[in-house]
Amino acid sequence: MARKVSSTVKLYNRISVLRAERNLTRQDLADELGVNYQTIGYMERGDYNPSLELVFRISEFFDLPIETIFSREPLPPLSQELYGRKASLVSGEKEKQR
Amino acid sequence: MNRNYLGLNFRQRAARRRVVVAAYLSCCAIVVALAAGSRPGMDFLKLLAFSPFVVMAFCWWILNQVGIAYTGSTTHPLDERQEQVRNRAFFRSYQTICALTSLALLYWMIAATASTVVLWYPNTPGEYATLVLLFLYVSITLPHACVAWCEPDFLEDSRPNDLPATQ
Repeated sequence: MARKVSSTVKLYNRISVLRAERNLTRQDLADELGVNYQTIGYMERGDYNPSLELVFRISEFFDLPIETIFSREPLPPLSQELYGRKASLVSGEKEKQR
Repeated sequence: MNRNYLGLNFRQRAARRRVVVAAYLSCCAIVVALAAGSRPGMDFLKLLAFSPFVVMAFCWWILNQVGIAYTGSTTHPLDERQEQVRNRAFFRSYQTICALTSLALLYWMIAATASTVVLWYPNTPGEYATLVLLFLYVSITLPHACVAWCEPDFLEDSRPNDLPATQ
């Protein structure tokens, strides 16, 4: 049986965080991606799901994998993800040393 | 869409919806004035029928500004979201125009053939011309009216040069 897919699936993203890291305005990012600056605002708020083509352009611009920027589940803060990974690496090394 | 007109903030959907209602109520007022003015001794209503044109002209201008603000100017290529907004507006307008035209034709058929009830329908070239003008007005403004009616509030944080808050 075919799985029913809702057309209003919300896509979560980290565009505003990545934009802040790179100190970019909406207009700067919009110019780089070739879209209107309002579209950046719509995407950041989750009001607009970009096309696959635009997702690839965003991924290439930030030089990050798509799944790092977009997710169908709410994304945890980058710091939490980073320190969580670091903590698990440290604990893994300690276990190896034992 | 940076300015307020007549104390209305057109960044808000509620204000834009008022303009859409005013535009199409003016159209209805003209038709009602034409119908009522065709009765004997009520000719002055035909002259009054031209007063809503001022409201309609103002609404046309506002709706045009809203349409440009949401779907971009005609000189720049649209991005994918703006194209979606525009296509949705054209689709809704097409549906509405089809429904209105069908209803108008149905009314005309009934009004022209009914023998038991007297229904108004245009008789003079002036009345026909006014109705054609109204039809043109509705068909031209409807896509922008759909955008004004459906699109969410224009958020302050959508300003182009805002940097996001640092994390």
